[in-house]
Amino acid sequence: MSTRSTTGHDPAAQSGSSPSTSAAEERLHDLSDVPSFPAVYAAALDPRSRRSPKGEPVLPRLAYRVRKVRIDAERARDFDHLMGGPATDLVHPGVLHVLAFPISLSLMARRDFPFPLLGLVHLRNQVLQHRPVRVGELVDVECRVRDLQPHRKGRTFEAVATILSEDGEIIATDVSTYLVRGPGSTAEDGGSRRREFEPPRPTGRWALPADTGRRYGTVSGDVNPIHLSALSAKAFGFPRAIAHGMYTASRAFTESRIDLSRPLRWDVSFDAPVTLPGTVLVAYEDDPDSGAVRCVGWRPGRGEKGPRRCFEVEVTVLDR
Amino acid sequence: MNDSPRDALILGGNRIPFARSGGPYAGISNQDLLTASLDGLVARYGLQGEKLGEIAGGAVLKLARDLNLTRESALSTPLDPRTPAIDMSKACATGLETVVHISNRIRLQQIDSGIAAGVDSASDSPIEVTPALRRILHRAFAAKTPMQRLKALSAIRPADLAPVPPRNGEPRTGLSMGEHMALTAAEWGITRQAQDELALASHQKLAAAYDDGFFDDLVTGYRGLARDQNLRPDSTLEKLGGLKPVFGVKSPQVTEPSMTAGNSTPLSDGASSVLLGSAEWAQQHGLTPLARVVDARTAAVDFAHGAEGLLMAPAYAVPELLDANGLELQDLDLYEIHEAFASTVLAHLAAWESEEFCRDRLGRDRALGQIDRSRLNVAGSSLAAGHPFAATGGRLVATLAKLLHQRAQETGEVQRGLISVCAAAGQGTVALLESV
Amino acid sequence: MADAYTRFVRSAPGALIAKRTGLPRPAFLPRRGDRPDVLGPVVVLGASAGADDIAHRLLEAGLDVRRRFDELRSVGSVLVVLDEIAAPADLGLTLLPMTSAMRRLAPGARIVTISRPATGEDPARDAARGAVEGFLRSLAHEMRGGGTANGIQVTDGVPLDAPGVTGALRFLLSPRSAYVHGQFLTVSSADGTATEDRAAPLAGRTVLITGAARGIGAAIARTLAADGARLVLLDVPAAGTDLARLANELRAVPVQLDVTSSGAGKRLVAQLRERGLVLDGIVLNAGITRDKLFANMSADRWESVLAVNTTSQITMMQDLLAGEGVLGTQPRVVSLASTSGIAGNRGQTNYGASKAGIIAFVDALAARLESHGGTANAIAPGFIETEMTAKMPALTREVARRVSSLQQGGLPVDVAEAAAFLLSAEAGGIRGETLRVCGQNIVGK
Repeated sequence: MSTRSTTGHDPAAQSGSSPSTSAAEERLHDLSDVPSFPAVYAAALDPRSRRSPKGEPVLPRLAYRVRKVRIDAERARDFDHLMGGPATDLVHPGVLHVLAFPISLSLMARRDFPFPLLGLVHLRNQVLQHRPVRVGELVDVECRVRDLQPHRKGRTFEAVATILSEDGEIIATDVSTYLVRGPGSTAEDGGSRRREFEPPRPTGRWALPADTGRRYGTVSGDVNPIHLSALSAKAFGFPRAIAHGMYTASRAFTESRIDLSRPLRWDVSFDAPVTLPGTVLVAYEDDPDSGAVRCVGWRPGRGEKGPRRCFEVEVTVLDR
Repeated sequence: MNDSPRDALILGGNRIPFARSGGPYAGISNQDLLTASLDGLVARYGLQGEKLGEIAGGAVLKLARDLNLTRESALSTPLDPRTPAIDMSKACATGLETVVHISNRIRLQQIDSGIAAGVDSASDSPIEVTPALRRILHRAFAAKTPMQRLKALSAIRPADLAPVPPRNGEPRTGLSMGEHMALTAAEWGITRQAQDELALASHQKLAAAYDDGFFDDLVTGYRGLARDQNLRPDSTLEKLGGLKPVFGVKSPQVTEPSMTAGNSTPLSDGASSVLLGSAEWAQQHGLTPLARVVDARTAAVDFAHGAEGLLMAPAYAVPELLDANGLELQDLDLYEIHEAFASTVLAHLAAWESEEFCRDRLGRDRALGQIDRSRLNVAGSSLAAGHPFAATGGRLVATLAKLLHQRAQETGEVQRGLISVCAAAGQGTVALLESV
Repeated sequence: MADAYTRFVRSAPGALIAKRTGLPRPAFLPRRGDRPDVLGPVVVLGASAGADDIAHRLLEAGLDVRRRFDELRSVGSVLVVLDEIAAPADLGLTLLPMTSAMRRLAPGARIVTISRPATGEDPARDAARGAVEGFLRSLAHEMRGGGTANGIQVTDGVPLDAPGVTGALRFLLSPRSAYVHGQFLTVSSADGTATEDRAAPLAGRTVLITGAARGIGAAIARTLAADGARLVLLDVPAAGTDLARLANELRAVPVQLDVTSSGAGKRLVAQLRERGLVLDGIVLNAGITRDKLFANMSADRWESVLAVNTTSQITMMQDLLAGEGVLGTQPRVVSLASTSGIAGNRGQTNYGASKAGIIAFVDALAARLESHGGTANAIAPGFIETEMTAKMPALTREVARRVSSLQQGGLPVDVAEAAAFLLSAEAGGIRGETLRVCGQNIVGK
């Protein structure tokens, strides 16, 4: 499995500035602090923020930046513990994702952002980390959106977060690919129908209790109602609460036992949602040649329903 | 590998009958069980008022308050209260590790005598509070004023109050031990029939050993139990064959789930202890040595991503132990392979018989080969006796030591025996005993 | 220690009610440690040379010895020596002076007769000797205040200073015989040796006790340990914890064995050999009850009682006798019978049979052991307060307690004291006897 092969591009090549938007055109907007999730979601729910773009939607050419954000040691610890790993001085890249996420989100909650925030589907996530981040470190976070593409189920775009050191060195980039549901691109259709998933031999099982979303919400700050409870999820059209994709991805990262002190890639693709409470079977595969650890997670089949793949994660150490 | 200054001798053992969890020992604590086992050992070998070098003991399911479980238990016995004790822990290998520890101390002349012990009570396993409640309580304890304390405590939510029972799966994989074993069994093609036969043999051999009085001086009755509660002398292949599989039923990879309650060990309560000493100490105390602890090895496997079966570590430790002592697998007179599951034993035997496994995984020229199955677990093992985790090692060691001693007397030849114990988290401990 | 009724009638209001209504008022029975070994003054009655000799020896032992009651306000012990009586008419002369002393007996007093058993040779002498038994047993019924009356019968030809006579006398005078009442002990030979160390009469002797973990067995173990014996305690594996605890308490060797299992005796021999233990004494105490009216008796109940109580003793002794070097030179065997084996008991056809079997068994065993200088005797306990009797129906239990002359149940230690005596070096002249420890239970002879 490789996300690269399906997306055909390498996030490493796109860190910093976006090729689809020239640097000269982009405005850089400094926020005083990382926005809070509830405020962003409230803004997203505000009927005034509803927009009906005329013509082809265009992504805002704007970057949000927050400077000197401290990587909170307690939060990093809670994050590690939630993922079942030891809390170390080195920060789980998932922490960088959740650090940047509200900034990206507030960018997407802007009025000039062409799509409704609630309803975006997280398809892929790719993190490239050049060096480890230590707890307590001060970093700058820049977020932008880019690369609007047609998709068989609508369109996709990327939210890119760049983590920089105080002296401007790029520490990590985090590229999240979202799907905006809509009229699909006919060009993409056909052949990409969901193939029958044949699960490998499981090496582990995650029993995810009903409060999984609330616990990740507490640690990450991502209190999207579809993750929190069956009731709040129903309000947004989901029969049950679903696990945060980045929770499953982060847990898979932790259990991949990768050396955090090394430069690394962390590629994730999401398929079927993981409903809560629920059980996910996982299978790890260590590739000694490439130094990659792959993990696929799936919902076990039951009765007539076959197994559904939920996510695939690949973690690779880059300086072998 | 016997260039140590002196031998560590097994002088005897004692255990209480193993009970099924929630059975006659329900409500009895680890300390009670361990004390009963030690009391019986002290009585059998006349150790009243004796100051021993050390007592090593442990429990897998241990309450936080039992931090000095072994020492506290020892203080309740007629042993000299100045006998030091140490608590040890290595899942199911705890019992065997305590034996290795005490024997090493004796060999190094740090002590002259000691007891290796283990206990577990699945009926009295610890139940923890939720992490949230724990944090709130710690905050409240640290509060300086009643108001601060009240404020801290006001953070408690009803959900925080739900107790957290002990985890029943491997923390790294979330799979239970049985599920792991089911995957390994499927990988090695271990059949239901073979597992049931092994289980039946275990029951029959344990029952026969009891009938022969073999355990008269190894087991001390407790709470009305004179024999292991799990023992079913009248079990049959038909009865075992009628049981429904309980492990591997959720794994599509296990096409024919074969692991039942009959060929898997039940949750058990019990305690065991082994008396060890130097030759001089044994002589001074008029005790007949049964066997010496020749050597031991440990191994671990990388099970977390499925590279090896969770319980297969002894398959790696045993060849290492044999090589170190210049022995072939077939040079051993008796084998005590802990029956965590019938399939565990069978998967080990299959691995040692497999050219591929021995070549690719062990890096050997050829397979270790077959063993004479009539020398395997000859007095029954965990499937029949039950498996109170940390108590199993002591049961195996005392049983094997007595068997080796008996056979040495019968044959007039030195008898060697192997003990192999698999443990959670992909670990294993193995030991070599020799009659004296 | 005392049962609830006894505690009640010993209380002030209880005593008053009992006195008014004529309810039995069980007396306090002094036991070991409650009073001196011999309660003085000791009055020795009888005109024979043997009587003089005994009086002398007691005097030498530092006791207050008298030959008449005369001025005594209180009498501790009375010894009636009747070894030379020739006809019933001789009795009155020795016995009648005692009448005035009966109300002056101290609490827990002792009356002991020393006579000789009838032989079938001389009708008049036999009648006199027989009369002693009837006198003593009747007198025992009249004893008050926890006092006891017992007799020693010394076989013709055995001198009165034989170790067995001295030992029996010492035992019957002492508080160790608190619940032995209205009984005769026969000393049939001059075998045995005087006990040197009175504080530890069993020092240096190794004794095996079966059924040792609980009840009477445990009491025997404690008493023998107190008397200096080294103990091997045997019980079924299920009683292992109790056995281990007792072994730890007494520094004894525990042996877990089901005496009814096949090869039990041989396994015991093997274990004794392995530990280098040589037995000087054996107390065969293991026993069970499975009461049922004979009409309802199942084979299982019958067989199990016979197997444990009788057959296991026979096979164990066979194996021990056959096992080279596991028995000492003068082995003493004490077997636990029961008054039910003497008089029978409703609902105890199996138990009564098993225990009567034991009474006959020890007689035969004694004959076999005599050549080794050993002895075998039985103890027949009456109603003893144990876990076993605690399970009896309350009314039956209450009746059983009160039917004895002492109007109370005995304690396990009373049986233990009798066992300790029979195991002692002094008791070598006592063979094939069944000593009742029953407080003169009215059943049987």
